[in-house]
Amino acid sequence: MTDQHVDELIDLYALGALEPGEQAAVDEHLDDCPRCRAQLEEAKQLVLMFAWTPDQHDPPPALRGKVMQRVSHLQRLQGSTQRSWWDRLALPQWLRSPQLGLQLSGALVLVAALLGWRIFGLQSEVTSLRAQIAEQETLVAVLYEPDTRIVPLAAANDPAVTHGYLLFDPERQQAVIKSTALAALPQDQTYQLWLIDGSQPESVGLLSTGPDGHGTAEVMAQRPFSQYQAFGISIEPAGGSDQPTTTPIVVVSL
Amino acid sequence: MFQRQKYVVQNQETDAALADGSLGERRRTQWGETSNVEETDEELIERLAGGDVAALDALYTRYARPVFSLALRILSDSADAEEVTQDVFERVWRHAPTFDAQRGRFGTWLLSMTHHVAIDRVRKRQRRPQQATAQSVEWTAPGPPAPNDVPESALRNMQAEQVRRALRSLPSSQQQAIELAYFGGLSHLEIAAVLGDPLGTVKARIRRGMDRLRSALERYVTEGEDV
Ligand SMILES: [Zn+2]
Repeated sequence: MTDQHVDELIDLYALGALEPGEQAAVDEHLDDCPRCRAQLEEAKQLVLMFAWTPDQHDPPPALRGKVMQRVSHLQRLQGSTQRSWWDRLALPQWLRSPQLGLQLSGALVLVAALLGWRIFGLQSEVTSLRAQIAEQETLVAVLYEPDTRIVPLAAANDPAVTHGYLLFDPERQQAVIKSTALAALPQDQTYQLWLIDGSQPESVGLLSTGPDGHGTAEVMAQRPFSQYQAFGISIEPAGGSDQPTTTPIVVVSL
Repeated sequence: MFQRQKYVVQNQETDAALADGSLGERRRTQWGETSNVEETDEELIERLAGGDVAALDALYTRYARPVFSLALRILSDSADAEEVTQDVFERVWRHAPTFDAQRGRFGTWLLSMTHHVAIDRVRKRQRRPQQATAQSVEWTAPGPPAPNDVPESALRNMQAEQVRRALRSLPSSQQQAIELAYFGGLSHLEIAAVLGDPLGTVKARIRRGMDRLRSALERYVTEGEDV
Protein backbone atom coordinates (compact mmCIF):
# COMPACT_ATOMS: atom_id res chain seq x y z
CA MET A 1 0.00 0.00 0.00
CA THR A 2 2.69 2.47 0.94
CA ASP A 3 4.48 2.58 -2.42
CA GLN A 4 1.29 2.81 -4.50
CA HIS A 5 -0.71 5.99 -4.96
CA VAL A 6 -4.14 5.91 -3.36
CA ASP A 7 -6.21 7.88 -5.87
CA GLU A 8 -9.27 5.66 -5.58
CA LEU A 9 -9.41 6.13 -1.80
CA ILE A 10 -8.85 9.88 -1.56
CA ASP A 11 -12.49 10.92 -1.96
CA LEU A 12 -13.64 8.24 0.47
CA TYR A 13 -11.03 9.43 2.92
CA ALA A 14 -12.18 13.05 2.64
CA LEU A 15 -15.77 11.93 3.18
CA GLY A 16 -14.75 9.93 6.25
CA ALA A 17 -16.05 6.79 4.57
CA LEU A 18 -13.02 4.52 4.84
CA GLU A 19 -12.91 1.55 7.16
CA PRO A 20 -10.48 2.13 10.05
CA GLY A 21 -7.90 -0.35 8.68
CA GLU A 22 -7.92 1.28 5.26
CA GLN A 23 -7.55 4.69 6.78
CA ALA A 24 -4.42 3.65 8.64
CA ALA A 25 -2.92 2.27 5.43
CA VAL A 26 -3.73 5.47 3.53
CA ASP A 27 -2.26 7.56 6.34
CA GLU A 28 0.93 5.60 6.01
CA HIS A 29 1.10 6.37 2.31
CA LEU A 30 0.22 10.03 2.81
CA ASP A 31 3.12 10.42 5.21
CA ASP A 32 5.58 10.32 2.34
CA CYS A 33 3.55 11.22 -0.74
CA PRO A 34 3.03 14.96 -1.31
CA ARG A 35 1.06 14.24 -4.48
CA CYS A 36 -1.67 12.28 -2.69
CA ARG A 37 -1.62 14.71 0.23
CA ALA A 38 -2.37 17.58 -2.14
CA GLN A 39 -5.23 15.64 -3.67
CA LEU A 40 -6.66 14.92 -0.25
CA GLU A 41 -6.49 18.59 0.71
CA GLU A 42 -8.38 19.49 -2.42
CA ALA A 43 -11.01 16.81 -1.83
CA LYS A 44 -11.45 18.02 1.74
CA GLN A 45 -12.11 21.56 0.47
CA LEU A 46 -15.00 20.22 -1.57
CA VAL A 47 -16.36 18.09 1.28
CA LEU A 48 -16.22 21.11 3.62
CA MET A 49 -18.74 22.82 1.37
CA PHE A 50 -21.28 20.05 1.91
CA ALA A 51 -21.80 21.32 5.44
CA TRP A 52 -23.52 24.44 4.09
CA THR A 53 -25.84 22.68 1.70
CA PRO A 54 -28.70 21.28 3.81
CA ASP A 55 -32.07 22.94 3.66
CA GLN A 56 -31.84 25.87 6.10
CA HIS A 57 -34.04 25.98 9.20
CA ASP A 58 -34.01 28.40 12.10
CA PRO A 59 -33.52 26.75 15.47
CA PRO A 60 -36.35 27.22 17.99
CA PRO A 61 -36.12 30.77 19.40
CA ALA A 62 -35.73 29.48 22.99
CA LEU A 63 -32.42 27.83 22.11
CA ARG A 64 -30.54 31.11 22.09
CA GLY A 65 -31.46 31.71 25.73
CA LYS A 66 -30.43 28.19 26.70
CA VAL A 67 -27.05 28.55 25.02
CA MET A 68 -26.36 31.94 26.56
CA GLN A 69 -27.51 30.86 30.00
CA ARG A 70 -25.31 27.79 29.96
CA VAL A 71 -22.22 29.66 28.81
CA SER A 72 -22.77 32.55 31.22
CA HIS A 73 -23.03 29.99 34.00
CA LEU A 74 -19.78 28.32 32.95
CA GLN A 75 -18.11 31.68 32.66
CA ARG A 76 -19.13 32.57 36.21
CA LEU A 77 -17.80 29.26 37.51
CA GLN A 78 -14.51 29.87 35.77
CA GLY A 79 -14.36 33.40 37.08
CA SER A 80 -14.94 32.29 40.66
CA THR A 81 -12.32 29.54 40.39
CA GLN A 82 -9.78 32.03 39.19
CA ARG A 83 -10.68 34.64 41.74
CA SER A 84 -10.49 32.35 44.73
CA TRP A 85 -7.24 31.01 43.45
CA TRP A 86 -5.76 34.48 42.95
CA ASP A 87 -6.85 35.41 46.41
CA ARG A 88 -5.34 32.37 48.02
CA LEU A 89 -2.05 33.08 46.34
CA ALA A 90 -2.11 36.65 47.66
CA LEU A 91 -0.53 38.00 44.50
CA PRO A 92 0.86 41.50 44.54
CA GLN A 93 -1.80 43.97 43.52
CA TRP A 94 0.06 45.17 40.43
CA LEU A 95 -0.01 41.70 38.97
CA ARG A 96 -3.76 41.98 38.67
CA SER A 97 -3.78 45.41 37.12
CA PRO A 98 -5.84 45.77 33.96
CA GLN A 99 -2.90 47.12 31.93
CA LEU A 100 -1.08 43.92 32.45
CA GLY A 101 -4.09 41.99 31.27
CA LEU A 102 -4.05 44.02 28.10
CA GLN A 103 -0.41 43.32 27.45
CA LEU A 104 -0.53 39.64 28.10
CA SER A 105 -3.11 37.06 27.28
CA GLY A 106 -5.00 35.52 30.15
CA ALA A 107 -3.01 32.33 29.81
CA LEU A 108 0.25 34.16 29.98
CA VAL A 109 -0.78 35.93 33.14
CA LEU A 110 -1.94 32.71 34.76
CA VAL A 111 1.12 30.78 33.74
CA ALA A 112 3.44 33.59 34.61
CA ALA A 113 1.92 33.60 38.05
CA LEU A 114 2.24 29.86 38.35
CA LEU A 115 5.79 29.84 37.16
CA GLY A 116 6.89 31.95 40.03
CA TRP A 117 4.79 35.15 40.11
CA ARG A 118 7.85 37.22 39.65
CA ILE A 119 8.53 40.30 37.61
CA PHE A 120 7.91 40.09 33.92
CA GLY A 121 7.80 43.67 32.76
CA LEU A 122 10.97 43.04 30.82
CA GLN A 123 10.58 41.85 27.30
CA SER A 124 13.25 39.19 27.71
CA GLU A 125 11.36 37.69 30.58
CA VAL A 126 8.18 37.57 28.60
CA THR A 127 10.01 35.82 25.80
CA SER A 128 11.38 33.25 28.15
CA LEU A 129 7.96 32.79 29.70
CA ARG A 130 6.53 32.12 26.26
CA ALA A 131 9.10 29.38 25.81
CA GLN A 132 8.15 27.89 29.14
CA ILE A 133 4.50 28.07 28.21
CA ALA A 134 5.18 26.04 25.10
CA GLU A 135 6.66 23.37 27.35
CA GLN A 136 3.72 23.53 29.66
CA GLU A 137 0.80 23.02 27.37
CA THR A 138 -0.72 20.59 29.79
CA LEU A 139 -0.65 23.18 32.49
CA VAL A 140 -2.33 25.71 30.24
CA ALA A 141 -4.93 23.15 29.18
CA VAL A 142 -5.74 22.39 32.81
CA LEU A 143 -6.00 26.09 33.57
CA TYR A 144 -8.51 26.61 30.83
CA GLU A 145 -10.83 23.90 32.03
CA PRO A 146 -13.67 25.66 33.81
CA ASP A 147 -13.95 22.83 36.32
CA THR A 148 -10.34 22.91 37.40
CA ARG A 149 -9.83 23.04 41.17
CA ILE A 150 -6.74 24.28 42.89
CA VAL A 151 -5.72 22.69 46.17
CA PRO A 152 -2.92 24.24 48.24
CA LEU A 153 -0.39 21.64 49.36
CA ALA A 154 -0.13 22.35 53.07
CA ALA A 155 2.81 20.83 54.90
CA ALA A 156 1.78 17.85 57.01
CA ASN A 157 3.75 19.09 60.01
CA ASP A 158 2.76 22.73 59.69
CA PRO A 159 -0.50 23.65 57.96
CA ALA A 160 0.61 27.27 57.73
CA VAL A 161 3.35 26.29 55.25
CA THR A 162 2.28 25.80 51.63
CA HIS A 163 4.58 23.74 49.42
CA GLY A 164 2.69 24.38 46.20
CA TYR A 165 -0.55 23.66 44.42
CA LEU A 166 -2.36 20.78 42.81
CA LEU A 167 -4.55 21.66 39.82
CA PHE A 168 -7.08 19.06 38.83
CA ASP A 169 -10.45 18.52 37.25
CA PRO A 170 -12.45 15.99 39.32
CA GLU A 171 -13.77 14.33 36.17
CA ARG A 172 -10.33 13.77 34.64
CA GLN A 173 -7.36 11.54 35.28
CA GLN A 174 -4.72 14.08 34.40
CA ALA A 175 -3.59 16.89 36.66
CA VAL A 176 -0.67 19.18 37.27
CA ILE A 177 1.34 19.74 40.41
CA LYS A 178 3.27 22.94 40.85
CA SER A 179 5.62 23.24 43.79
CA THR A 180 6.70 26.65 44.99
CA ALA A 181 8.68 25.73 48.08
CA LEU A 182 9.98 22.19 48.19
CA ALA A 183 13.70 21.98 48.91
CA ALA A 184 15.77 20.31 46.21
CA LEU A 185 16.64 16.77 47.26
CA PRO A 186 19.99 14.98 47.06
CA GLN A 187 20.61 12.87 43.92
CA ASP A 188 19.52 9.61 45.55
CA GLN A 189 16.11 10.88 46.62
CA THR A 190 12.94 12.04 44.91
CA TYR A 191 9.53 13.41 45.77
CA GLN A 192 6.88 10.83 44.94
CA LEU A 193 3.22 11.66 44.40
CA TRP A 194 0.35 9.51 45.64
CA LEU A 195 -3.40 9.38 45.28
CA ILE A 196 -5.16 7.69 48.13
CA ASP A 197 -8.38 5.76 47.91
CA GLY A 198 -9.08 4.03 51.21
CA SER A 199 -5.78 2.84 52.63
CA GLN A 200 -4.09 1.92 49.33
CA PRO A 201 -1.91 4.71 47.92
CA GLU A 202 -1.45 4.72 44.16
CA SER A 203 1.78 6.14 42.77
CA VAL A 204 0.99 8.89 40.26
CA GLY A 205 4.42 10.23 39.44
CA LEU A 206 7.64 11.80 40.66
CA LEU A 207 8.56 15.42 41.17
CA SER A 208 11.94 17.05 41.19
CA THR A 209 12.49 20.66 42.19
CA GLY A 210 15.11 23.28 41.45
CA PRO A 211 17.24 25.17 43.95
CA ASP A 212 14.44 27.75 44.30
CA GLY A 213 12.01 25.05 45.41
CA HIS A 214 10.03 25.22 42.19
CA GLY A 215 8.99 22.24 40.12
CA THR A 216 6.16 21.14 37.84
CA ALA A 217 4.99 17.64 37.04
CA GLU A 218 2.11 16.02 35.29
CA VAL A 219 0.05 13.66 37.41
CA MET A 220 -1.56 10.67 35.72
CA ALA A 221 -4.15 8.77 37.72
CA GLN A 222 -5.80 5.48 36.82
CA ARG A 223 -9.26 6.85 37.54
CA PRO A 224 -10.88 10.30 37.60
CA PHE A 225 -9.81 12.41 40.57
CA SER A 226 -13.29 12.47 42.05
CA GLN A 227 -12.76 8.83 42.94
CA TYR A 228 -9.87 9.50 45.32
CA GLN A 229 -10.00 10.86 48.84
CA ALA A 230 -6.58 12.39 49.22
CA PHE A 231 -3.32 13.39 47.60
CA GLY A 232 0.06 13.01 49.25
CA ILE A 233 3.79 13.52 48.75
CA SER A 234 6.55 11.47 50.32
CA ILE A 235 10.34 11.43 49.98
CA GLU A 236 11.48 8.17 48.42
CA PRO A 237 14.70 6.65 47.05
CA ALA A 238 15.50 7.84 43.51
CA GLY A 239 13.24 6.14 40.98
CA GLY A 240 10.36 5.90 43.45
CA SER A 241 8.83 3.10 45.56
CA ASP A 242 5.85 0.80 45.09
CA GLN A 243 4.35 2.03 48.34
CA PRO A 244 5.36 4.99 50.51
CA THR A 245 8.33 4.13 52.72
CA THR A 246 8.42 7.39 54.68
CA THR A 247 5.91 9.57 56.45
CA PRO A 248 4.29 11.88 53.90
CA ILE A 249 5.33 15.50 53.99
CA VAL A 250 1.99 16.50 52.45
CA VAL A 251 -1.44 14.95 52.75
CA VAL A 252 -4.42 16.94 51.54
CA SER A 253 -7.96 15.76 51.13
CA LEU A 254 -9.49 16.30 47.70
CA MET B 1 -5.36 15.75 -12.42
CA PHE B 2 -4.87 19.09 -14.09
CA GLN B 3 -8.49 19.97 -13.46
CA ARG B 4 -8.15 19.21 -9.78
CA GLN B 5 -5.21 21.54 -9.42
CA LYS B 6 -6.96 24.37 -11.17
CA TYR B 7 -9.93 24.07 -8.89
CA VAL B 8 -7.72 24.40 -5.83
CA VAL B 9 -6.01 27.51 -7.17
CA GLN B 10 -9.32 29.18 -7.86
CA ASN B 11 -10.53 28.32 -4.43
CA GLN B 12 -7.54 29.97 -2.84
CA GLU B 13 -8.12 33.10 -4.84
CA THR B 14 -11.62 33.27 -3.46
CA ASP B 15 -10.22 32.98 0.04
CA ALA B 16 -7.63 35.63 -0.71
CA ALA B 17 -10.32 37.99 -1.94
CA LEU B 18 -12.19 37.27 1.23
CA ALA B 19 -9.11 37.98 3.31
CA ASP B 20 -8.26 41.33 1.74
CA GLY B 21 -11.84 42.45 2.03
CA SER B 22 -12.59 42.91 -1.66
CA LEU B 23 -15.28 40.29 -1.47
CA GLY B 24 -16.55 41.92 1.68
CA GLU B 25 -17.24 45.11 -0.25
CA ARG B 26 -19.24 43.29 -2.85
CA ARG B 27 -21.15 41.40 -0.25
CA ARG B 28 -22.03 44.51 1.61
CA THR B 29 -23.75 45.96 -1.42
CA GLN B 30 -25.44 42.67 -2.11
CA TRP B 31 -26.79 42.00 1.37
CA GLY B 32 -27.10 45.55 2.58
CA GLU B 33 -25.78 47.07 5.78
CA THR B 34 -26.45 45.18 8.95
CA SER B 35 -25.57 45.93 12.52
CA ASN B 36 -22.98 43.15 12.59
CA VAL B 37 -21.09 43.98 9.42
CA GLU B 38 -18.51 46.07 11.22
CA GLU B 39 -17.23 43.40 13.51
CA THR B 40 -15.57 40.35 11.97
CA ASP B 41 -15.95 36.85 13.35
CA GLU B 42 -12.36 37.03 14.54
CA GLU B 43 -12.97 40.24 16.44
CA LEU B 44 -15.97 38.69 18.12
CA ILE B 45 -13.93 35.65 19.12
CA GLU B 46 -11.27 37.87 20.57
CA ARG B 47 -13.91 39.64 22.66
CA LEU B 48 -15.30 36.28 23.72
CA ALA B 49 -11.84 35.09 24.73
CA GLY B 50 -11.57 38.23 26.84
CA GLY B 51 -14.66 37.16 28.76
CA ASP B 52 -17.33 39.13 26.90
CA VAL B 53 -20.15 36.61 26.61
CA ALA B 54 -22.23 39.02 24.52
CA ALA B 55 -19.87 38.32 21.65
CA LEU B 56 -21.14 34.74 21.63
CA ASP B 57 -24.64 36.06 21.19
CA ALA B 58 -23.54 37.85 18.02
CA LEU B 59 -21.84 34.71 16.71
CA TYR B 60 -24.99 32.78 17.47
CA THR B 61 -26.99 35.25 15.41
CA ARG B 62 -24.67 34.63 12.48
CA TYR B 63 -24.25 30.90 12.65
CA ALA B 64 -27.03 29.23 14.64
CA ARG B 65 -29.00 28.65 11.46
CA PRO B 66 -26.38 26.73 9.43
CA VAL B 67 -25.20 24.87 12.56
CA PHE B 68 -28.70 23.79 13.51
CA SER B 69 -29.59 22.93 9.90
CA LEU B 70 -26.54 20.70 9.47
CA ALA B 71 -27.17 18.94 12.77
CA LEU B 72 -30.82 18.46 11.82
CA ARG B 73 -29.89 17.05 8.43
CA ILE B 74 -27.55 14.53 10.06
CA LEU B 75 -29.71 13.60 13.05
CA SER B 76 -33.22 14.03 11.60
CA ASP B 77 -34.40 14.97 15.05
CA SER B 78 -35.02 18.50 16.24
CA ALA B 79 -34.30 17.85 19.92
CA ASP B 80 -30.99 16.15 19.07
CA ALA B 81 -30.08 18.96 16.68
CA GLU B 82 -30.77 21.50 19.44
CA GLU B 83 -28.47 19.66 21.82
CA VAL B 84 -25.73 19.54 19.23
CA THR B 85 -26.14 23.26 18.54
CA GLN B 86 -25.87 24.03 22.23
CA ASP B 87 -22.81 21.80 22.57
CA VAL B 88 -21.14 23.41 19.55
CA PHE B 89 -21.58 26.98 20.84
CA GLU B 90 -20.33 25.95 24.24
CA ARG B 91 -17.21 24.65 22.49
CA VAL B 92 -16.82 27.96 20.70
CA TRP B 93 -16.71 29.66 24.07
CA ARG B 94 -14.31 27.05 25.46
CA HIS B 95 -11.94 27.23 22.50
CA ALA B 96 -12.13 30.98 21.97
CA PRO B 97 -8.90 31.71 23.89
CA THR B 98 -6.91 29.27 21.76
CA PHE B 99 -8.70 29.74 18.45
CA ASP B 100 -6.20 30.27 15.68
CA ALA B 101 -7.83 33.14 13.88
CA GLN B 102 -7.44 32.96 10.14
CA ARG B 103 -9.73 35.40 8.49
CA GLY B 104 -12.82 33.97 6.92
CA ARG B 105 -12.26 30.53 8.39
CA PHE B 106 -14.29 30.56 11.56
CA GLY B 107 -17.50 29.42 9.87
CA THR B 108 -15.73 26.55 8.17
CA TRP B 109 -14.21 25.49 11.44
CA LEU B 110 -17.56 25.79 13.21
CA LEU B 111 -19.43 23.69 10.67
CA SER B 112 -16.70 21.05 10.61
CA MET B 113 -17.04 20.79 14.34
CA THR B 114 -20.83 20.55 14.04
CA HIS B 115 -20.44 17.75 11.51
CA HIS B 116 -18.04 15.94 13.80
CA VAL B 117 -20.23 16.25 16.89
CA ALA B 118 -23.42 15.26 15.06
CA ILE B 119 -21.86 12.26 13.27
CA ASP B 120 -20.42 11.13 16.58
CA ARG B 121 -23.88 11.20 18.03
CA VAL B 122 -25.38 9.33 15.08
CA ARG B 123 -22.81 6.60 15.47
CA LYS B 124 -23.42 6.36 19.21
CA ARG B 125 -27.11 6.05 18.56
CA GLN B 126 -26.24 2.85 16.67
CA ARG B 127 -28.83 3.65 14.13
CA ARG B 128 -29.89 0.74 11.99
CA PRO B 129 -28.59 1.20 8.46
CA GLN B 130 -32.11 0.77 7.01
CA GLN B 131 -33.21 4.00 8.61
CA ALA B 132 -30.41 5.82 6.88
CA THR B 133 -31.82 4.77 3.53
CA ALA B 134 -35.28 5.86 4.50
CA GLN B 135 -34.15 9.37 5.33
CA SER B 136 -31.96 9.84 2.30
CA VAL B 137 -33.79 12.73 0.69
CA GLU B 138 -33.42 15.07 -2.23
CA TRP B 139 -31.19 18.09 -1.84
CA THR B 140 -33.61 20.91 -1.49
CA ALA B 141 -33.38 24.55 -2.38
CA PRO B 142 -32.07 26.82 0.38
CA GLY B 143 -34.31 29.08 2.35
CA PRO B 144 -33.84 32.85 2.18
CA PRO B 145 -30.55 34.09 3.64
CA ALA B 146 -30.51 34.61 7.39
CA PRO B 147 -31.43 38.20 8.34
CA ASN B 148 -28.04 39.12 9.75
CA ASP B 149 -25.90 37.53 7.07
CA VAL B 150 -22.32 38.65 7.24
CA PRO B 151 -19.13 37.99 5.34
CA GLU B 152 -18.25 34.35 5.75
CA SER B 153 -21.74 33.02 6.16
CA ALA B 154 -22.87 35.01 3.11
CA LEU B 155 -19.97 33.77 1.02
CA ARG B 156 -20.53 30.18 2.07
CA ASN B 157 -24.21 30.46 1.33
CA MET B 158 -23.46 31.58 -2.21
CA GLN B 159 -20.95 28.80 -2.70
CA ALA B 160 -23.27 26.31 -1.08
CA GLU B 161 -25.96 27.16 -3.59
CA GLN B 162 -23.62 26.09 -6.39
CA VAL B 163 -22.56 22.90 -4.61
CA ARG B 164 -26.19 22.15 -3.86
CA ARG B 165 -27.14 22.51 -7.50
CA ALA B 166 -24.18 20.42 -8.61
CA LEU B 167 -25.20 17.70 -6.19
CA ARG B 168 -28.77 17.74 -7.40
CA SER B 169 -27.58 17.37 -10.97
CA LEU B 170 -25.78 14.10 -10.15
CA PRO B 171 -27.33 10.76 -11.05
CA SER B 172 -29.37 9.87 -7.97
CA SER B 173 -27.31 6.76 -7.19
CA GLN B 174 -24.13 8.88 -6.96
CA GLN B 175 -25.83 11.56 -4.94
CA GLN B 176 -27.26 8.99 -2.56
CA ALA B 177 -23.92 7.28 -1.96
CA ILE B 178 -22.19 10.60 -1.24
CA GLU B 179 -25.00 11.64 1.09
CA LEU B 180 -24.91 8.41 3.05
CA ALA B 181 -21.20 8.92 3.60
CA TYR B 182 -21.27 12.58 4.59
CA PHE B 183 -24.62 12.99 6.33
CA GLY B 184 -25.06 9.37 7.39
CA GLY B 185 -21.55 8.86 8.73
CA LEU B 186 -21.43 5.48 6.99
CA SER B 187 -18.33 3.81 5.60
CA HIS B 188 -18.34 2.58 2.00
CA LEU B 189 -18.79 -0.92 3.37
CA GLU B 190 -21.86 0.10 5.32
CA ILE B 191 -23.23 1.99 2.34
CA ALA B 192 -22.85 -1.11 0.19
CA ALA B 193 -24.67 -3.11 2.86
CA VAL B 194 -27.49 -0.58 3.09
CA LEU B 195 -28.00 -0.33 -0.65
CA GLY B 196 -27.37 -4.01 -1.35
CA ASP B 197 -24.81 -3.10 -4.00
CA PRO B 198 -21.33 -4.51 -4.53
CA LEU B 199 -18.53 -2.65 -2.81
CA GLY B 200 -16.81 -1.78 -6.09
CA THR B 201 -19.99 -0.22 -7.41
CA VAL B 202 -20.37 2.01 -4.36
CA LYS B 203 -16.75 3.15 -4.48
CA ALA B 204 -17.02 3.92 -8.19
CA ARG B 205 -20.25 5.90 -7.69
CA ILE B 206 -18.74 8.04 -5.00
CA ARG B 207 -15.65 8.70 -7.03
CA ARG B 208 -17.55 9.52 -10.22
CA GLY B 209 -19.93 11.73 -8.28
CA MET B 210 -17.09 13.65 -6.67
CA ASP B 211 -15.35 14.06 -10.05
CA ARG B 212 -18.54 15.43 -11.59
CA LEU B 213 -18.90 17.88 -8.72
CA ARG B 214 -15.34 19.02 -9.25
CA SER B 215 -15.78 19.74 -12.91
CA ALA B 216 -19.14 21.43 -12.42
CA LEU B 217 -17.70 23.69 -9.72
CA GLU B 218 -14.59 24.37 -11.71
CA ARG B 219 -16.68 25.63 -14.59
CA TYR B 220 -18.52 27.85 -12.16
CA VAL B 221 -15.37 29.21 -10.54
CA THR B 222 -13.32 29.77 -13.71
CA GLU B 223 -16.01 30.82 -16.14
CA GLY B 224 -18.68 32.17 -13.83
CA GLU B 225 -21.00 29.69 -15.49
CA ASP B 226 -23.93 28.63 -13.35
CA VAL B 227 -23.84 24.99 -12.44
ZN1 LIG C 1 0.61 8.93 -3.58
